[in-house]
Amino acid sequence: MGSSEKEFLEKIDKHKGIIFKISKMYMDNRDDQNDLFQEIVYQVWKSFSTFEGKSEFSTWLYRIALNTAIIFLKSEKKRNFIQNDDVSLYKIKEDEYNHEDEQKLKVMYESIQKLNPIDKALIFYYLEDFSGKEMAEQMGISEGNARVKLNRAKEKLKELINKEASRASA
Amino acid sequence: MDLDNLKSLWNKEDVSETPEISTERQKEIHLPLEKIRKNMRNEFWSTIILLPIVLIAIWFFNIPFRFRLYIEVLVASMTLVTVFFFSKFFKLYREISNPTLGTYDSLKDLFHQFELNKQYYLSFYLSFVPFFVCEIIIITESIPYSHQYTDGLLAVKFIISILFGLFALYFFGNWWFKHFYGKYIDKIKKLVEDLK
Repeated sequence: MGSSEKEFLEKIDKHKGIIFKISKMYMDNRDDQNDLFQEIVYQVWKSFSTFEGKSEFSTWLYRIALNTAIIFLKSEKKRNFIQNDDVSLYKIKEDEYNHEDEQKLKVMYESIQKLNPIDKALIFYYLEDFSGKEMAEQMGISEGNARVKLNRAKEKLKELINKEASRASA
Repeated sequence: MDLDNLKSLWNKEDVSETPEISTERQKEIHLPLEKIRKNMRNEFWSTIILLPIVLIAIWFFNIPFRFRLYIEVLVASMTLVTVFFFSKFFKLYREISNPTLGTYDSLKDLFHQFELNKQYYLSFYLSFVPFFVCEIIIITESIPYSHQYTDGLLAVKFIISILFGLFALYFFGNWWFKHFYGKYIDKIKKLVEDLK
């Protein structure tokens, strides 16, 4: 194993949790989530030699991961027929475990999965606490545009969460 | 549920169990660029296999030597044109896709490259028009009873054959492109528009 490959694996190991979170935002079943996870790791590896360290590795990685997730192709039909009753896809850390939170986490993911790919990316940056300026840089759009789009995405997500929560409680 | 609570939920999530990094699964293709590359590779190899078969098959037809020779030269020229265009396609696909750019630039870049590919593809199909016309001339000339046609009948039959062939080439080319490439281009186009 070369030193570059070793360095890559060490860095990926630190960030694989967040890559898996992105996969879960974009795909709604375990197989597709695993496929997207692998694809992101592959794309990051392909571009790894171009990483110059001008930004944080995580910032650079998020950009590649989301750009990959946005154009990831999976059959829409297949997705529509799959039911997600598997709560274990979305787990709360053991030391903070709370059943209600775990249910909410599931509702959150299921609602995010219904957004379009661009809105999902914006919500990801929001959840990761990116500022409007950072978000705009990552997305390659103006700050004003990023803020407007984020607000719209948040509105859509709010509606979806409310629908999903009332469906779950019914 | 308040949206601000989502951040706290997001941070409480347990992601200690992630999939194993597997080189096997990475061989599966899900990106549009990779799918197009794969389709193009298949198209190239099927054309490269088909053309020598045509070159050989011509010798089984009972036609005068000179017509056989003309067809052989035409098919060989078509092979050269095919190799030229596919080398362009492959070069294009080696150079595109940069996921390290900002999302909008990355998508726009991908979309423009797809559009460029579309233009190459159109030129590729148009380059077959003169070959097709030459083939119709050779076929018409090689049919003995066509020499007894009146000028009017020859003109009508010749023009109808060419028009029919060109329409078939147009509709088939259009269907082929949309089926194998167009759906990916539409998807990327929509994403670019969403980000504008």
